[in-house]
Amino acid sequence: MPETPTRRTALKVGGGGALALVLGVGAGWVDRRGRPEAAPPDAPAPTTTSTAPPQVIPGFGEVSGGILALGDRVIATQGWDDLDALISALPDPSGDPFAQAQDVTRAEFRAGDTITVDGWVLARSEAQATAIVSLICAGDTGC
Amino acid sequence: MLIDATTLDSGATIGGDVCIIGAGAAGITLGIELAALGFDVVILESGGHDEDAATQDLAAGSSIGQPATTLDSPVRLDQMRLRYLGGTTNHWAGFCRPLSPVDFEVRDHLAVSGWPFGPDELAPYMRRAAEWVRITDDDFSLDRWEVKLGMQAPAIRSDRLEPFVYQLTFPTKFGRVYRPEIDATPNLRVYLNANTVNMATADGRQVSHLDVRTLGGVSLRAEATAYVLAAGGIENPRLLLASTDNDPAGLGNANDLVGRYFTEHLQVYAGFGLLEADPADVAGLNGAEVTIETGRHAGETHGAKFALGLTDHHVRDAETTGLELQLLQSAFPEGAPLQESGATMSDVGELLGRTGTTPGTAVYLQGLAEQELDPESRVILGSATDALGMRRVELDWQYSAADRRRALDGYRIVAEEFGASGLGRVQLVPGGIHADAIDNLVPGEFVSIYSSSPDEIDENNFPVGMGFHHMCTTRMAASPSDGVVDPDCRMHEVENLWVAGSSVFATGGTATPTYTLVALAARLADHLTAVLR
Repeated sequence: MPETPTRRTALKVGGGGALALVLGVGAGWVDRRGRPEAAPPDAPAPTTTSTAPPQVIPGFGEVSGGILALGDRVIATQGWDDLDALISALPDPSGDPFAQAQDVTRAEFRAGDTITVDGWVLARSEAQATAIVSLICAGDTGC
Repeated sequence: MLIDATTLDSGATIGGDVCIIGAGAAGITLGIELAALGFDVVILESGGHDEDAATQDLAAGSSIGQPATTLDSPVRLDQMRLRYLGGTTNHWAGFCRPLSPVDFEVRDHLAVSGWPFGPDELAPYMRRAAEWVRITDDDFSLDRWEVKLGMQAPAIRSDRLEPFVYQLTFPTKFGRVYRPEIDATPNLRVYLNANTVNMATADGRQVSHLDVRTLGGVSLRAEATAYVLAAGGIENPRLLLASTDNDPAGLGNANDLVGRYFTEHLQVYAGFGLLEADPADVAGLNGAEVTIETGRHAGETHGAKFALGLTDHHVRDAETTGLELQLLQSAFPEGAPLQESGATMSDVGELLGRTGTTPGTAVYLQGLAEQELDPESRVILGSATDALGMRRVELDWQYSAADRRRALDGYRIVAEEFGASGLGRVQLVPGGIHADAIDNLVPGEFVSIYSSSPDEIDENNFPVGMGFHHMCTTRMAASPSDGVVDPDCRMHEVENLWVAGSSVFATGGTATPTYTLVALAARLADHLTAVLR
């Protein structure tokens, strides 16, 4: 690899040390798409932002704006707009879809049972979970 | 000792037992090793102590195939190779690791593959090469380096993807590091500003002498028992093609293989990873310094870090080519708007948090993929000439849609293994990242680091950069119908001419080539010793 102009690939030790960023949930996930003053003039208007207050959806507990945004994109890119079908596809339709996703996600990745949303490679069940809560929130009862 | 060829009388004859063309990593290693054994060695170096524009211009040429680019921008041929003492190690980033065993194997799913020997043949020379490039040693085992660094490798262990170790020299510029040794060795004479323009031959079977010129007009003649071409993966075939005393096709080119199979590593910023890990658990991705404990560089430091690569098992079973990834941590400002629309890293982080894990560290993924050897990917001579009257190079670099697809398949495996192992999630945006923007992020400033929207990446046509790793243009093979040099790196058709450097690689693999080419140079030193004695 060349030192220049891609010297960035080299080990960053000594001096200032490695530049690492901790994007911890505890530190606050702040998506500035929802901050008009930070956006460039031609930036597309966000449809959903994670700066919105978390939603409390019956049975699912607290669901953040970022998850709803992700669910919107899953629905838009996969065409998953049938809430009943999504719920019935869950291993346990009566449970928390996120908890179920956690149980089966690794196996799905291992089996290559994934979907791609805006480049993100997600396990099918976790993507389904986001679509379910987005559809619920977008439905008549809202969330 | 170092001698400025511009101070010599025109018409003078220089020479020794061995004459090496090029004072880069291979030439300096070979020269010092042979001189230490008592041979009278001459090295002809095109440049001087430092880079100068006129000499560098001799490496200029045109790119007529796939665009020659770095990860970010077009690059000229004369920017990739450096013509002065130390050669291209003068901008080497210092990454060292050996080729994988699978790189040496014949893979039936590829049109051309396989080395004429296996990794065991190179093993003793990898130990010697480790000292030349100034790393700890040739032991790259994961367990050893986890202990040595006090850091864990990424927690992926599968039959498809695995972590490995890169040792990094800091970096070893061979001209600077070994100049004192050159100065102190009277039977090693390095002529600076000495450009070889022709390898003279009467019958095509023996080199009789070299025609050498300086930019100032001094003409010299170099004579030796053995000649070694060590000028790099582009200049090696150029000089062979330009040496037409006996054959207009060039020296050692009866089978029309000189310059063919030009191979690079396909470099791509593949995307981002969001790691479900405590930063302390992935510190090994950045690595740390270690101290060399033995040998001529004892007490000096170098670095080591972990990266990820497809396993040999997967390369064989999936009938694919190699791929490796570095996970590079960057200074993403907290809450940086990594993208303006669509599913963002923040969104995925919230998903991971909701499912009970703790997303921690953001990394970007720099991939480096092997390309399949293609005889139409080649170095040829154009009609333009340089200041010494030599025809300039036209680089016709070719890689295929299949190469790109195999790389993309590899990135998808990375994404799946991240999820399967609980390491995190991956966003694949091959070629869709502004690397410069990543390097210049400022907390609080809105910067788009995507060159196109993540959902608009063209998976069939994403841009690919070069690693500046020019390989296989005088490929090694047992048969002259398959390669230019034999397993001893001797030209199949020319009895007293050998080739050193990555141009003799039989396949490119994914490992950065310098460490291996230095090992091959040490091996060549042993071979030449046996031949000359």
